[in-house]
Amino acid sequence: MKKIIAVASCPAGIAHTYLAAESLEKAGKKCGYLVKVETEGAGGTSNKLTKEDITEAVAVIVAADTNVPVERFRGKPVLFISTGDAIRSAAKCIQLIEDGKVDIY
Amino acid sequence: MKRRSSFYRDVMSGVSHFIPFIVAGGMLISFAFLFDASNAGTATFGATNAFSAWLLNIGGIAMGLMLPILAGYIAFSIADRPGLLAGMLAGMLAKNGGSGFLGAIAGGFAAGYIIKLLKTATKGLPLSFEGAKTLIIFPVLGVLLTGLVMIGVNFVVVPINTVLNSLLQNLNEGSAVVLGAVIGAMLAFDMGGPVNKVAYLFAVASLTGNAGITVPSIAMGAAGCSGMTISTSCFLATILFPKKFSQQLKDSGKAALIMGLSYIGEGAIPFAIEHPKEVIPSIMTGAAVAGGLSGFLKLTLTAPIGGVFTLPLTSNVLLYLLCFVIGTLVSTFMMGTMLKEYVEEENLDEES
Repeated sequence: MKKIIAVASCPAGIAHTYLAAESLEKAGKKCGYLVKVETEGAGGTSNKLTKEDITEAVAVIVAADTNVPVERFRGKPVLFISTGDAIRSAAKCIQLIEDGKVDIY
Repeated sequence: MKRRSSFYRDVMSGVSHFIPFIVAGGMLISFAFLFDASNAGTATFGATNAFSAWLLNIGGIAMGLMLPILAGYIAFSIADRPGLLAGMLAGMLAKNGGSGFLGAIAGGFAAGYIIKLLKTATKGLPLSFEGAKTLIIFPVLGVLLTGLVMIGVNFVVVPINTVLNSLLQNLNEGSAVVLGAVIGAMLAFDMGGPVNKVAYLFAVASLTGNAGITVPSIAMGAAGCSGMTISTSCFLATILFPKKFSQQLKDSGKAALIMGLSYIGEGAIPFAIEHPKEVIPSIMTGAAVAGGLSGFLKLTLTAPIGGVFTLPLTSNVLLYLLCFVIGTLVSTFMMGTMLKEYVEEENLDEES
């Protein structure tokens, strides 16, 4: 199964972050992708992306309203959006990746 | 869909780190007043007995750290690790110099960009200087330059705070209603998102009085009161109109009650996702009513966070609760009227 990785982070770190993660996972599953989302919430980072995750992934989605470390994704197609976009239009994000419309970071 | 501006992301990185300091500080200070309620109005209110004094002390320390943390993490977001020290210094100088929140935000940016500049300026140095750069140049020069810039920031921002305060204090009833209603509507609009944070930060900034002391604010009163209605009304709607919500939302309702009373608007998000056209106008109207009423009655709050825990820091607990209840009822009944009966969706995916 092809893999997409993502990072989600919102200012309060209690709701938007996790809703965005859930929404991306669901939308990815529907299109046949395995989506792993690292959440950076108020309780710290969970489901941390490993080096293997980054190597295996076909694309990266950064759904963040705060600054998150992105240097590690250098050379990958990275889609930068807000958590709100991820919650509302996750399917569109996956579509953009499938169409190859995401720029290399 | 687009990426948030870097300005927004930097401010929010600071905000996300300073929220726990406000919550803990605000609540502990409120508890101190709660346990000293019999001495309300006296000079030692909040610290008459040893237990209250202790709560007030640790709460005050947690709260006192919030400006350094805010500025520190804005700078951290801009310049990475070396930014933290310069940013925290800027926040401390904003606190002591009386420029408060606005000063801390400006200072955080100044500190971050000073460090970024130092990074660029020292790029040409040979690799053997790497240790000296991070151990001496960034910290020492960063603190010196940030300290200099903060003299200017305090000079400019302190008068702005004074003007903002006198404006708020001299508002007539009409403008206070409008201000409160706008704050309430903005808080409810995106439930913890960017519009919400703009309104919230404005209200928090209005707490900084002359010489940096915390003053009662009607903007914060309206924000504290209206912010509680957002999630609470969703809970109440699941109780009064159970037929209009899915089981999943009814479960979310219980969490929404706790969140609402603790001044967390995010509890309404699951409802707004499921029924955006009905829920968002309802919670905005109810929050605007609560905020407007609170403004009309000129209720003030002296803590930078609303919710039941900071009730003792409001100017009139009963009227404040009344505004909250009225706003919540307005949202709840609007939802009840606008929502259609919930019909269990058939699971089409698994039938085929």
